[in-house]
Amino acid sequence: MDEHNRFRRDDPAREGPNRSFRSFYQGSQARNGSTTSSTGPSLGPDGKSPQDAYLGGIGLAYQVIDQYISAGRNAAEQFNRQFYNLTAGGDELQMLIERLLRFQSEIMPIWLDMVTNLVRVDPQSMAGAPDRYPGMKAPDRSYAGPGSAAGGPAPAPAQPATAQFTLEISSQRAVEVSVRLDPGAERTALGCAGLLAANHPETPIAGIGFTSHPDGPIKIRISIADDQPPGIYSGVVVERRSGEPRGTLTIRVSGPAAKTSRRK
Amino acid sequence: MAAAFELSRPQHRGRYEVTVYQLGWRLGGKGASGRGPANRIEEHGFHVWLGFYENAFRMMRECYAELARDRRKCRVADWRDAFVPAPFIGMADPVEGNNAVDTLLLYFPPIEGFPGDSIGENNPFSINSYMARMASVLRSMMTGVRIEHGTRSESPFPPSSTGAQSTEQREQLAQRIARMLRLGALATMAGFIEALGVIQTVFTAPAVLPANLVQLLEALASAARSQLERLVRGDRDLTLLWHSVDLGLTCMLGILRGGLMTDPRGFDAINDYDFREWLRLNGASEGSINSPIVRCAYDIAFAYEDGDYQKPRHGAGVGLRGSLRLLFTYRGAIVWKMTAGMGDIVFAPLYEVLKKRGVIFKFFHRLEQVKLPKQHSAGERSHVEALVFDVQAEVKGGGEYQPLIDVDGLPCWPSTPDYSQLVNGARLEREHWKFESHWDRRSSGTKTLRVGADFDAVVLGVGVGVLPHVCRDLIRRNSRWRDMVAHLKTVETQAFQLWMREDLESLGWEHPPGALTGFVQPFESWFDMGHLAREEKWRRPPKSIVYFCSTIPSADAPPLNEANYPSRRAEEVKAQAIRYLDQNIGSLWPNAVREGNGFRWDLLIDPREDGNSVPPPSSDHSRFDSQFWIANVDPTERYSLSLPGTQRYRISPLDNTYDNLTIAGDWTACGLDSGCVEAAVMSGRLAAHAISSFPPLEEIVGYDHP
Repeated sequence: MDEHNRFRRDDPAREGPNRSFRSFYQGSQARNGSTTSSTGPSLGPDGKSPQDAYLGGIGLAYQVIDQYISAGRNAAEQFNRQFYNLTAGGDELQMLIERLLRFQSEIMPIWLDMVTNLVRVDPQSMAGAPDRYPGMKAPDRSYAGPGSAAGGPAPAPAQPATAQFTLEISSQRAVEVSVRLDPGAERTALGCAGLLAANHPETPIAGIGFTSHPDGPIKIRISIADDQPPGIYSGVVVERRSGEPRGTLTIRVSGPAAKTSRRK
Repeated sequence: MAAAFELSRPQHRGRYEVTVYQLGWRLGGKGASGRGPANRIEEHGFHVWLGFYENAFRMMRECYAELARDRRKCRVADWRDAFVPAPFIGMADPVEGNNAVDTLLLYFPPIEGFPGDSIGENNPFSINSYMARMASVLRSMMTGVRIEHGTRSESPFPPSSTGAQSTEQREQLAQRIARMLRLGALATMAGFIEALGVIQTVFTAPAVLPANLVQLLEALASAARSQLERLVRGDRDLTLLWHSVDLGLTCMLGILRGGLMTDPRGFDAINDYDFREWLRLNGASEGSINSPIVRCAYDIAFAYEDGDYQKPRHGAGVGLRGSLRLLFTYRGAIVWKMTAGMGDIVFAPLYEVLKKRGVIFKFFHRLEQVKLPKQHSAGERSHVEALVFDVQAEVKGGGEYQPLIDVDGLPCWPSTPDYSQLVNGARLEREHWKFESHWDRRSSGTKTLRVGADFDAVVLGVGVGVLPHVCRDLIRRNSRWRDMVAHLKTVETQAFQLWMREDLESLGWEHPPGALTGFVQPFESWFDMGHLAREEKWRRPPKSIVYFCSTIPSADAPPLNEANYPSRRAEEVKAQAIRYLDQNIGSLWPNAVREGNGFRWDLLIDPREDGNSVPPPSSDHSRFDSQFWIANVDPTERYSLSLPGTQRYRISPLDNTYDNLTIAGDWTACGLDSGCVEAAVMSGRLAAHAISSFPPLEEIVGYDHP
């Protein structure tokens, strides 16, 4: 074949991937996870400037420190007030364990909420952020560290609200259920992969059903098998579509399990 | 194969006539598998598909749909028959000073959708999604982490039954309560550090605040970290939990501090750093950096230069990108296991679909040289002028070799070629021709393909280790190719498989089936593959099947005159495996060893004894001969590393220096830039785009990614 007639590839529009965050995290339109090339808007989708977002982030960070340390200290103090009664009999010890678990259930959501809040500081608004944050100003308040009286007024720890729900429990034995659902969870389709117990990981509680109503409480259906080993089972409630956490669910199953064969 | 799949699409209306030239008798390269005695599956290592392999899953889903197998005749008729979720990933942490191992078993919850689904409004490829998933994973870890010391299970909570408590029980309770308090403090401190990090990041603007404030904040964060390390010291459970949180926070902060969110190079901007080095620079504690979590990340990527465990090296950008993709963009399950060999599940259906589309396969062709013209016309780009092959064997009657065998209705690849189809096949078999060996250069003839007459364009899909042997013209005349070959390193790997007559539970393994990495070297990774027992055709199926895999200390491939190199390395693998089972496996499977006498070799099933109900008479390590082991030493089998500072030397399939040549493989600049199936498929799709402008780059999922 004449060399002039041979096949030649066209030059590609580009020879490498678009590595820019600016186009990456903005869009849900593109098929490979990116949008077409864009220098990014000067304002975020909520109309705030990048500088607003940074300042908001600073404020949020302060708030997290105040709220978090305050809540952690309160929880620890509350626990410590009842901590040393260790010589008590079996029932009191059991109560102690209950308090311990309450402590855990109180501190965990705060920590998890903190992480969730922090990671949402400003990813949207930073879309148009210039390099190295020029023009950013210091916040109005200063931080004096944990336990200091010199700091700005610490905001009262926000009591996490929970969405409204009703429970439908099918169980031959006594159970205690602790539910925390984010506000607004009633507007989403919820799911839970199962509840695991630390001491019985091989027998999770599965088949937990959620029925959401935008104008009413979420209906949670839980069925405990007769041979479910006693224990404390916990898990995360997620939004089914996105997998994003929307709450936590903990069930304590009491009493001996019925004698039925189960795979270990 | 991905490039062939794209170029042969019916939508092209036959515009591209595709011919695949393949070394030996089977497709797949280092992903190839074969059926051996008892139709057992023999792999190059263990292969799992991660839940973020969007391009690879998409291809296979299309492949199975197009193949439209009849489930009444074939048990793997759909992609859901081919892959099953594996939600547990285990990390082992050997305890210093004794033979015990701590096992951290993580459960990753299922995520809505399946890999390969269209990217709709719930686009996982966004920072918002990454961050939300990060919170989700942390939640799962906090609520679901379960650690067991050695073989003893320890619940963090006492039984709920009431009654008199002994002094010992009370002390245990006190210890547990103290531990819970530390956990509370852990959560508090983690929040504190994170908040500080955010402040520090946004305060970095030099015009706003004096540098000493940043230093002060850094000191605060550092002090908090060290206090926390002390707090959890001695409690391995909390230590591991803290390490995972610390690493997550470090990555978040490192992205912000390093300006990666505004750097046009994305994560590539930090590829000159080793991943551990980058974590250290961004404040991760030494404990976290040396934790089993990080070690496992290196193990999974075989990230040891020259296979030397003393030289762990992994490009930070590649490591960060891979970690984010792994944890935050998986769909369905974090890991998917194949229900048969990778050859049977992936390459057999691909072969069948491509055959239906009219693709021609030329087996037993070894590429010897990619030739450039001595000179090209002024104003013209250079191009590939000829391809020179050794024809390893001729097919009787001149037809096309039929490579698949039928295993109860499932098309599979055999572990050895079907000599009966080959000219002088009996002689080739008698003389033990090793068609896949780089060092066995025997051939039946040569073939030269010329541009214009025999081909128009070339997709070079060999392993990177083969390039110095077949691309001598390109390497001599093109500095970029020279640099690529010089800097992109590969490493040999080794694997062995066990078929045993007792299940893992009775051998003392207390966890669910899953993968475990970070175990004792040299076979630090293993996978429970017991689900394959039904697929293999044993008269008395094994009760457990386990695959082990790792790197081997290795230099560059030795010269061609070292013909006994593969067999020598295979013998070394066998010796290592025997020693490992004797000396190390007891800490995982305590009932698989006899005290003082090492591994119970009678556990191993010899296919020649299949169906026997009595235990074998021989119980020494010679029974290991009945198992399968392999040294992946051929240049095309070596694993492609992503060493720091080497990514820039990768060449893209889109590169148009040679205007009728493109390249494909996980060693190319394909976006992911790491050795895995997904990178290979992305690269193949890019190669197809280079030739046909299809698929659009925007359809190659994850290509445009920081």
